[in-house]
Amino acid sequence: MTVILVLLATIVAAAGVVTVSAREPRLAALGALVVMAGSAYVADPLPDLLAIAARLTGALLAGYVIWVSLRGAKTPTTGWRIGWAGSAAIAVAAFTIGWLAATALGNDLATVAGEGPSAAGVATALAAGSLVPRAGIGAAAALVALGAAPVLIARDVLRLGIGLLLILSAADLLRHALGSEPDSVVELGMAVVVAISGAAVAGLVSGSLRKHGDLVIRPGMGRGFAIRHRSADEAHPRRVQEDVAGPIEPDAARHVPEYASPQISPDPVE
Amino acid sequence: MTILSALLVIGSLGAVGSSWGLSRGGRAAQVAAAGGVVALILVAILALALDGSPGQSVGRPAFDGLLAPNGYLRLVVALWAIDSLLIAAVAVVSDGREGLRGVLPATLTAIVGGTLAFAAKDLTLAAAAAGITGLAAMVVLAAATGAGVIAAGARELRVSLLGPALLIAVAAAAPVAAAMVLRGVAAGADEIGVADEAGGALGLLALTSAVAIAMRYGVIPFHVRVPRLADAVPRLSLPLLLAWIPLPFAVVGLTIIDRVITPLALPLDGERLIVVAVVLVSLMATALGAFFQDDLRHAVGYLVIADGSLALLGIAAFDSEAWGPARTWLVIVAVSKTALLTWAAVAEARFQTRSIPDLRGWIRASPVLTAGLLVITVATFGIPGWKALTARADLASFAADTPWSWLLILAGLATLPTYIRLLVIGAGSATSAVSRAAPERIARGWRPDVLPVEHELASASTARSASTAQDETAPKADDGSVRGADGRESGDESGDQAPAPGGEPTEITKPAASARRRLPDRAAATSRGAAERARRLAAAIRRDSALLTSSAVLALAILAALTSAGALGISSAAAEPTVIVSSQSSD
Repeated sequence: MTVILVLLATIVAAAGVVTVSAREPRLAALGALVVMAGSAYVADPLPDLLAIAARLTGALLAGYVIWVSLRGAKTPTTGWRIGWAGSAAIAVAAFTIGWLAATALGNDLATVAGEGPSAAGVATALAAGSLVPRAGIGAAAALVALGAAPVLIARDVLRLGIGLLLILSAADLLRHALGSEPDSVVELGMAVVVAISGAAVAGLVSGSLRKHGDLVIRPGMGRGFAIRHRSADEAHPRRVQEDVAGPIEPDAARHVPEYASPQISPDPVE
Repeated sequence: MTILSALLVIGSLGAVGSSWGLSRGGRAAQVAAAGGVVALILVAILALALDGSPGQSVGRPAFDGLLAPNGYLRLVVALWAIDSLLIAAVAVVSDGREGLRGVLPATLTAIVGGTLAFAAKDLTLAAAAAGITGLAAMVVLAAATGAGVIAAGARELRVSLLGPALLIAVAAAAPVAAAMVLRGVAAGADEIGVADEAGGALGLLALTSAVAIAMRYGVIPFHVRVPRLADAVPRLSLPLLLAWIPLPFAVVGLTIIDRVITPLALPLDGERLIVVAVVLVSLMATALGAFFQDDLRHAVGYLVIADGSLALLGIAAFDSEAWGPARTWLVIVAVSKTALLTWAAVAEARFQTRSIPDLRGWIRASPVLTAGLLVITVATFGIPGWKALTARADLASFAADTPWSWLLILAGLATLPTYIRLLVIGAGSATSAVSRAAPERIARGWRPDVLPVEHELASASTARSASTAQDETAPKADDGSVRGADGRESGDESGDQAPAPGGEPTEITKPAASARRRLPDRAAATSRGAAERARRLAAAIRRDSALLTSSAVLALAILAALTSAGALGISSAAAEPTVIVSSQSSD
């Protein structure tokens, strides 16, 4: 089982590479789905069946709604500009660093575990020398390294959302690696968070496609948007209002004082 | 089913139902809006029903003991629901049912998430619930239509997912580092190096928690999100997004520090210095920004940031004594800034401008709104003996030593000139935007001055509809009713005169009374009567909307003042120990 879980951690990191570097949006979404689903199970010991089912459901729901939201997406997107090879190199380096750090942490925990206040339940698997938490921390480091760039300098909503999901999965991996026995209710809560997070990403993606027709994040409102000085256009409050908040909707328009005006009937034809 | 479970179920159902119905429009939207408001009322009642003595766990645990109701939860959720009800009332009065779209489901979602975060006995669960609370902002943004919604949504998504991820990571790593510190110290000189390293790691984790909370409140340097969000969303959603949503998140962040790091009494002076410096810069810069800002939404956004940044001092203190003042301050920020943001929304809607200079003279026609802003100012800063002022002083003194603590207190008061500016501008001569706005007064016996031509049109159309109705129901009736331009029936009691279609006064006859007597179907008459009453009520609400919205702001301000004064038992509720007894990684 340990070998399988270590392999799963590697697959999660590889899926992270696919997610950030794929130019095809749906391939990126598929990669994110593998990351979200896989990161739930890199734990020693494994969660119980209920938790496994809940996490799988949460990840599938999140992946599905993102997949559906990408229906109208133009392909391909820019992807990560450093390419497959670059992102894979970053992931390998981060995975290695995470693995080594986990090993050192496990050794420290094992060294000081003898005497002193009890902290039973703290990173027990790591202190016991299990390879699963080491692989988990390695995969978490890889996901953070891969997800940081899309999150910090996001240019499109899909990359941003997927980067955030990678970082959320990394936090989950870290939680499993440094924890003790997974709790079913906590796993259920995490499943709900993953599903809702996926829905939020999907909502933003579909909103962007509906509004702009693409996934690019536009500033929308530049410096000219904010009111920084007294408007000189008092004679045309409606125009000022529209400049600030966009076209006035019918509902909002009824707050503008309306003065009675005679209905102009069309001239008789005859 | 426990009260807590019922609260969560009703809140969730209300959120889902109102979200679904309000987006559909028509009858479904009416039902959804009513259902959402009823759910909010029930949430408030259930929160208050979590009765118990302050400082103790109240009510029965739910979900296999993983959720424990407590006095702080009771106070916060009840205040949140009552504030939200008042905001919903303002939204309905000023924008109609459309004003609830997005705001109502997001509020219910956030309340459910916040309740989970306050009640969770597990740190990871609490952090995850705080994350759900943050994602409620996406519900508002999904319903928003203005420019820049996607960019604002991207920023909001970043904060809403990155924040919980950071807190979950900290909640997992901090107990490991704490255990290493304890074991290293216990093992003696051989392992003291390990303890030092782990102590340094704990300092970094504390800073990470502070960063997560700072991001959520928009503390400098994360402040750009707040004005962009204020531009993109409906004005009445800002109290939820800026004042309430950060509250559960900040409480969970503080809990991690208080439960895991503070008991170790580590020398974390460097970390304390960094946080205090960030708070100081944030307080000064946002106070200046708010004062010189001419955009009302941006100005009040900066005021929220300034007060929110003070909460970070609860982390910088690394002292268990700061737990109570920090949680007290968080609630005071939420309620006082809710009142302020609602005041700004009402002023913007009434005067049809966001420009502060264009609001010159606003006080003249708005005495109740003025009283609201005055009470909000007092609630924000407090007076000696009030919990608001005490919490400010306590947080500053726990976070820094004497000269610096005074500087922090003074910096916290640096936003006062902005409130004074709003009042001084309001006392000036009125601009055209202010002059044309409806004044605050009860207009029950007041007839609007309208041009005769409006009477003519209204009378003609009403006469047509009245004659049509009479044809259908009482063809023999000779007493057609004439309605005024405001939609009310005229001449019910007094037999007023109103201009006829031709411009000549015509006697207004008794409206439906005699015709109703002749109705063959009494049920139909009752139904028509109810519809008529509802129509009259709606017309009255529209007519008195200025006064009603101002009164709601004043009510919010009074609630904030009561909280600020400590009348609601806030300090005892805030000082009670956390219900979190375990984390995934702690013993």
